[in-house]
Amino acid sequence: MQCERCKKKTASVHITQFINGKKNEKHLCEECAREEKLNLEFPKIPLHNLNEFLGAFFNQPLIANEQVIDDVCPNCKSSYSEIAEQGRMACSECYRHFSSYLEPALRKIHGTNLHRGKIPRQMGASFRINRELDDLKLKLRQAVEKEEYEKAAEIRDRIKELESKIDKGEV
Amino acid sequence: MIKKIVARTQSSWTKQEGPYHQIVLSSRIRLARNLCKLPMPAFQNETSGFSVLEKVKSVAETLNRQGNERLYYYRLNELPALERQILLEKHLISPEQREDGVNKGLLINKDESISIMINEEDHLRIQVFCAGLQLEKAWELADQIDDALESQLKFAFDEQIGYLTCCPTNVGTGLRASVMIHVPALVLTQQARKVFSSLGQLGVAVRGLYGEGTEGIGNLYQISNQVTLGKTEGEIMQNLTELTIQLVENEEKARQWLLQECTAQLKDRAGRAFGILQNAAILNSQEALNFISDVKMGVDLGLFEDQLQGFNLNELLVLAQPGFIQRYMGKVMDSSERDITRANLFAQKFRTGGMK
Repeated sequence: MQCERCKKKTASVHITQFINGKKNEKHLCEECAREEKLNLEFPKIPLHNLNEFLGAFFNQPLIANEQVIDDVCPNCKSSYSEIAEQGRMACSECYRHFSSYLEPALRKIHGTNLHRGKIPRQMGASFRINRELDDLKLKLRQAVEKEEYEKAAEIRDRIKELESKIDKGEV
Repeated sequence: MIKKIVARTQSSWTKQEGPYHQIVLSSRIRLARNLCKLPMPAFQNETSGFSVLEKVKSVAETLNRQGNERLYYYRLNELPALERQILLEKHLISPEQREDGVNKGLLINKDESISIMINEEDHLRIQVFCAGLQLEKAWELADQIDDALESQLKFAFDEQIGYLTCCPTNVGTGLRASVMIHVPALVLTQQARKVFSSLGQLGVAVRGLYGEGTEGIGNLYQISNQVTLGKTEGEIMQNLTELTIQLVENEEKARQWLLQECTAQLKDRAGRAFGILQNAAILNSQEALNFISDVKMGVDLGLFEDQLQGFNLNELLVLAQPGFIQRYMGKVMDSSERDITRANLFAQKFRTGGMK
């Protein structure tokens, strides 16, 4: 078989490509194949900058769920697609609003999604109270289920006390 | 203060002191912090950027009044490009922070051990430097500064994922701990590549001293933690410290091996480098850094006369830089003019001393 590019040498490189399901065959001599850079290697992944690379971490839910594209952070009004494009978060609230989409990305980057380090001092008190609140709410539910109403009332009062502290900004 | 900083070769990291200082030049802690709900720098407009700058500036003034270590405030676009360049050369700001931008700020203390970048990738990047391998000590200071700033500012923090940063790769502790190491013997004995690639598998990144693509210049490397979430600050630092000590031990072993097996070659290398630094009439910065490295190892191994023992070679890393040379001579110079000036300055520095 003749090389289809130079039409001189014998074709020794036969390439079958499937692009979007369409079959495409090429028969070239070695030299032409090299020149055409019909790389017998893997195709290079276009990676222009780090942002794009990081963006790739975010992109998965975009494909999975078209609605996500229009989802907007209530604080800064940035859309998820803007964030994904930049590979950067637009404000602190984006983390909360888009948390379900971000979680897999964080796991990929860090192998976990749970912070174990420093807690801001200011945050310290309210953090502990929030933890206690979660705990009390669980106990309240258990008490009600067991019909221990007296105990449930006590727990409810404690919850109210803590919540009013938070509302008044005491913690 | 900035005039003094850009005019001297000394910085907190050039001091040649602290544990393992012959091989570990310095330790750095960097904490990424953001203000709650305000647009992150990548999404700022001029107004929101300015308000962050003003807010941080006024907090710094309050802290100064309260008698904390004084922080000097600078708006970077008000500094000449050359001074910004020198701040970069001294590792006090990042390449990103050097670029034009109206709302980029810097808080810096007198001895350059604290530098806080405002509106870099995050609203705040708190950096603390210590000479030698002293990550813990640097962390203690960074932690105090963080507490002081936090007493006046509301930082973005999430109970589950920790400190919220512009880029999710920094989330959690927001901590990047790094050490600057000089490992000529690992490079000479061709072990560096292998050692560094194994470090990569242990969650540690290795880069050249002046960022991506500068690997190997002056046999200087920067190694830092990659993961910021899921570990405590103590664990991150301990991990990096232990790996650094292993690196130091390997470097020392390689140096001793070279000293025993290739004494003449080692002396030759150090002596030639010294001779060139003493006598060259044209010297580019990369050459300079490589020759400093050869001399430094020679000094560490006691190959030179004692005059060189007290000589600060780390400061020469600053002196070799293009921005610093131009500021020092008080004029703008093209690269060939700089190379001639650099050769002169180095010849003056190396006027005394010599091989044993």
